[in-house]
Amino acid sequence: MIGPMHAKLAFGNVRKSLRDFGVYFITILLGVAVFYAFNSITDQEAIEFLGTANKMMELLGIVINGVSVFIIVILAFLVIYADRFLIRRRKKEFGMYLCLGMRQSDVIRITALETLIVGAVSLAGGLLLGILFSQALLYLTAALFATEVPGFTFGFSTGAAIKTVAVFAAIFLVAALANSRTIMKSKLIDLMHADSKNEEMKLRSLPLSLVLFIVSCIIIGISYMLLVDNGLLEPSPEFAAATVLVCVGTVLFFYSLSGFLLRLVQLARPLYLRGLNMFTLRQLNSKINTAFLSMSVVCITLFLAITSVCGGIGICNTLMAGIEKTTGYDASVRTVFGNYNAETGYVPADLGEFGAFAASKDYDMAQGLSESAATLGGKPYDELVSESVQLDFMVDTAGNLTMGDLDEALGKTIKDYAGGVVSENYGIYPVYLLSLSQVNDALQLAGKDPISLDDKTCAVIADSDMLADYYRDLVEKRPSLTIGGESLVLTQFSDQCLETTSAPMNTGALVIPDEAMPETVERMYSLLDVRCASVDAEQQFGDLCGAIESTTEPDTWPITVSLTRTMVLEQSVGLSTIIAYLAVYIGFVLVMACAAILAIQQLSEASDNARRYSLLRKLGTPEPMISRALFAQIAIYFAFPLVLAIAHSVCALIVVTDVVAVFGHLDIGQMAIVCAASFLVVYGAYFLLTYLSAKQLARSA
Amino acid sequence: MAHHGLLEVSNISKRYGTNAKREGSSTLALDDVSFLVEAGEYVGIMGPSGSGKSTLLNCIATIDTPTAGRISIDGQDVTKLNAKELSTFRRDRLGFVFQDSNLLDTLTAFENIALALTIKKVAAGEIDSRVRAVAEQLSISDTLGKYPYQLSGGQKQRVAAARATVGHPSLILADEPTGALDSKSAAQLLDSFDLLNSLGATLLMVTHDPVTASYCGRIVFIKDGKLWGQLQRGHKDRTAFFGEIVAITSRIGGDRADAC
Repeated sequence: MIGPMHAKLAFGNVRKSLRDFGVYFITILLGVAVFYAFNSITDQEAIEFLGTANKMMELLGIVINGVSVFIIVILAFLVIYADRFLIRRRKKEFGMYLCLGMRQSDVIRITALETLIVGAVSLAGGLLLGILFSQALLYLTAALFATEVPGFTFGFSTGAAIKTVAVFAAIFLVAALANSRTIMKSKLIDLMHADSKNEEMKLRSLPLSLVLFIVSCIIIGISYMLLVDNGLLEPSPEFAAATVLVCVGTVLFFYSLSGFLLRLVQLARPLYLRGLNMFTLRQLNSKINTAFLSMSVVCITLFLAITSVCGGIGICNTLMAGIEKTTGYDASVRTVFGNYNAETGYVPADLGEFGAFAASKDYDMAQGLSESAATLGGKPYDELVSESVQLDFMVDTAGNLTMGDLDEALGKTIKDYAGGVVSENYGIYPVYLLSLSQVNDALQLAGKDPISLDDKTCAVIADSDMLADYYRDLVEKRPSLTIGGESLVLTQFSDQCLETTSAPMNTGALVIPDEAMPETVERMYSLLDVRCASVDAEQQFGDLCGAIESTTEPDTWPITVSLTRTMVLEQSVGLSTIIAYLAVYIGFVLVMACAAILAIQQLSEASDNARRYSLLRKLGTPEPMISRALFAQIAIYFAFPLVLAIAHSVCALIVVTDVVAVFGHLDIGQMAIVCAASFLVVYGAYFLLTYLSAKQLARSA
Repeated sequence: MAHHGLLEVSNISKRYGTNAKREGSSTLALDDVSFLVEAGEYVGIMGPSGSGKSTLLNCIATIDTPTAGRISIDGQDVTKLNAKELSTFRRDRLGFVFQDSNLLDTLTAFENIALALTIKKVAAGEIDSRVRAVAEQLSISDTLGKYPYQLSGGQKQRVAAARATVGHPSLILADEPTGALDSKSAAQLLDSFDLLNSLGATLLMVTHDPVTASYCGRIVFIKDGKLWGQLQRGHKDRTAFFGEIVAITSRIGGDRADAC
C-alpha cells in the first residue's frame, strides 16, 4: 500500500532533487519523443497522401520495428544506469529513513513512487515532444517523396503511442525492480557511511602512461592503414584485424590519456603550476580508472553513430544523384544469354524452352516480347511501346582481347583505380563489344548525342563512376586493339548509361563499327530500351514484363530483369528514405545515450568533488578559476571521445567512399552535415547541462 | 588615535535563524565579542562545546559573516567586502589549518602546498623554491612526492601548515589542528607552529585541548557567545601555563555545571 506519507516524501524528493533528476528526465523525455516519432512514421492515416510510395513506407515500418528492439535495449540500459546513479547518491538519505524506523518496504515504495512520478511526467512530456517531432518528420517525408502534404494533416498515431507507453512502462518496471534489489541488499551501516567510502586511489606510473599512450596511437594508426589499404568489401582478415586493433587502441588511448596529459603538462612547469591546472589534471587522472572504459564505449558508439549517419545519408545522396543518368528510358528489359567463367570460358545460360523461343525469333527482343504479350493475352505490345532499341553485348570467344590487355595497354591495372572492389582474376575476362549503330540508336532514344567514329577507331562506354578515370586515361594512350583480326584505335570514352537501372552496372564495353563485329562473337546479354506510349502504358508495360518473366508458358521471351523508370525512382527514393531515417534514428539515440552516460558519470563524480571544491573556495580560490577548472575537466571528458570518434569516422568514411564508388561518387552531402551538426547540438546541450549541474553541485558543499 | 592590532574584533554578534517575526526562535551564537591580536602573536581561543568559538573563527576566516560588529584584519574591515573580494582576501591574507588536514587526496604533498601559490598566480619558477623552503622548515621535505594517503596524520597536518604559511599570509587560522592527532604527532605540529611564530607568523588557533593551548602566548576564553576572559602566558613555562589553563577550563565547565 502506498500511504500519504510515501506520496508526500516521494513528491518532495522529486521536487527537491530536480537538478539530480534533470539529466535523467531530459534523457527519458528525448528517448520517448524519438521512439514515438519514428514508430509513428509509418502510420497509414498520416501518410495516405503518399500514394504509391506506401509500399516503401511499409518496408520502412518493418525495418524500424526491428531496429526499435535494439533501441529499446539501449534506452533500458540508460534508464537503469541513471537510476543506479541516483540511488547511489541517496544512500545516506535512505539510511536516515531506516534509522527513523521506516521499513525497507517503505523505502522501496517511496523510490518506486518517485520512479513513477518522474516516469509519468517525462513520458507525457516526451509524447508531446514526440508528436511535434513526428509532425516535422511528416513534412520531411513528403519532401523526400516529392509530394506535398495536402492541407494541414495532424498525425497522431495511437498505435505508436500505445507502443511507446508500453515499452517505457516496462523499462521503468525493470528499473524499479533493480532499485528495490539494491535497497534490499544494502545494510543500514553501509547506507549511513556511504559518504565516507571513497574510490580506492589506484595510481599508475606516469612514464608507463606515456608509453601506453604512444602505443595506443600507433595501434590506432596501424588499424587505419590496414583499413584504408584493404577496404571493407570482403570480410578479410585485415578488416577483422583493423576492427580489433581500433577497439584495443581506443581503450588503451583512454586508459593512458589522463596520465599522458598530466605528464605532458608537468613537463611544461609554468603551465602546470598555473591556477588550478594541476588540480584539474589530477582530478582527471584520479577518476580515469573508472572512466576509461565508459569513455572508450562512448567513443566507439559515437563513431558508429557518425559513420552510420554520414555513410547512410551519403549513400542516399549518391543514389539520388545518379538517378537522372540511369533513368534515360521509360523501361529497360535485360536478358542474360551467357556467362563467362575463368575455367570453362563462355557458357550459354540455361534458358530451356524460353531460350529456344528467343533463338526462333533470332534474338529480336521487340518481336519476342510482342508475341509473348499476345500469347499471354494482355494488351497488345504495340499499343504500349512507341519506340524501342535493342543492344546486344557480345564477346569474341575466338579472339583474345581481355581486360588484362587493356591494363597492359594503359600500364596500370583496374585495381589501381578501383581498389579491392574488383574480383581477383578479372584480367582474363573478354571485353564486351557493342555495335555502333545500336549504341547510337539507344543514345538518340534517350535524347543524347550519338558517337561518331573515324575510320579504324573505336570507343569505350562505361557508366560506372569508379572506372571513368581508368578509361579516360586509357583513351589518352590511344591504344590499338585487335578485334576479330582487325586493328582499331581506341579514341573515345563515353560515360552514358544505356539502360534504365537502379545502379549503373556497365563496367565497360567497346563500341565498334558494325562491320568490324567479328563472326565468332557470342551473346552475353541483350537490352531492350523502350519508350512507352504514355505514363499508363509505362505501368502496363512493367506489369506485362513481370507477367512474361514469371510465366511458365513456353513460347515466351526469357526476361532476366525488367525495370520501368517509375519503379527505379520509387526504389531509390524509398531506399534512400529508409537509409536516411534509420541513420538518423539510430544515430540520434546513440549520441543521446553517449552524452547521457558521460553526463551521469560526471555528475556522480561532482558529488565526490564537492568537498574538494569547497576546500578550494576556503583557500580563497577565485570563483571564475574554479568554474574554469570544472569546465576544463568536463570538456575533456566530452571532447576526447568525440575527437577520436571523428578521427575513426573520417577513416571509415574514406573506405566507405571507395565501396560506394561502385554506385557513383559518394557525396556526404549537406544533409549528413546538418544531421551530424544537430547531433553535436544534442551532445553539446548535454555537456552544458552537465557543466551547469556540476557547478551547482560543487557549490552546494 | 586608538591602537590598532593586526586583527581587530569589535563588538561582533552572530545570530542564527534570524527571523524578524520570531525573534525568540533565533540563537545568539556570539554576543558582543571584542579583542585584539597584535602582529607576531600566537593566540588560542578556548571554550566549551557550543561556546561559539568555531563561529568566531569562521567569522574571522571570512567563511561566515557576523550579524553585527566589525572585524578588521590588516586595517581592512572584512565585513564590508563582497564575495569576490572576500575570496581574494582569503587567498592573499589568510592561511588555514583545519582539523582533518583537508588536503586534496588527488595531489601530492608538494602540489597541495603549491596550490596556495598557484591560485595566487605566483610565477612558476618562484613556486618551486618557496615550497621547498617551507617544507625544509617544517621537516617534511621527504614527503613532498607522496600522496596524502601515504602520509601519517601528523605529516598531513604539517603539510597543511606548510600550505597555510607558504603564501606569507598576515594571519594563520587553525581550527582544532591537533584534534585528530596522537600526542606525539600533535607535539610535532605544535613545534612547527612555534617555529612559524618565531619566524614572525601571526597565529590564531581554536582548541579545546589545554595541552595544545599551552603552546600559545595568550588565550581568549569564550563562553555562551561572550568573551569570558583572557590569559597571558608571559614568561611562564609551558607546564605552568598549562596548569593555569586547566584551572580556568574547569572553572568554565564548573559554571556550566552550576547553571544546570
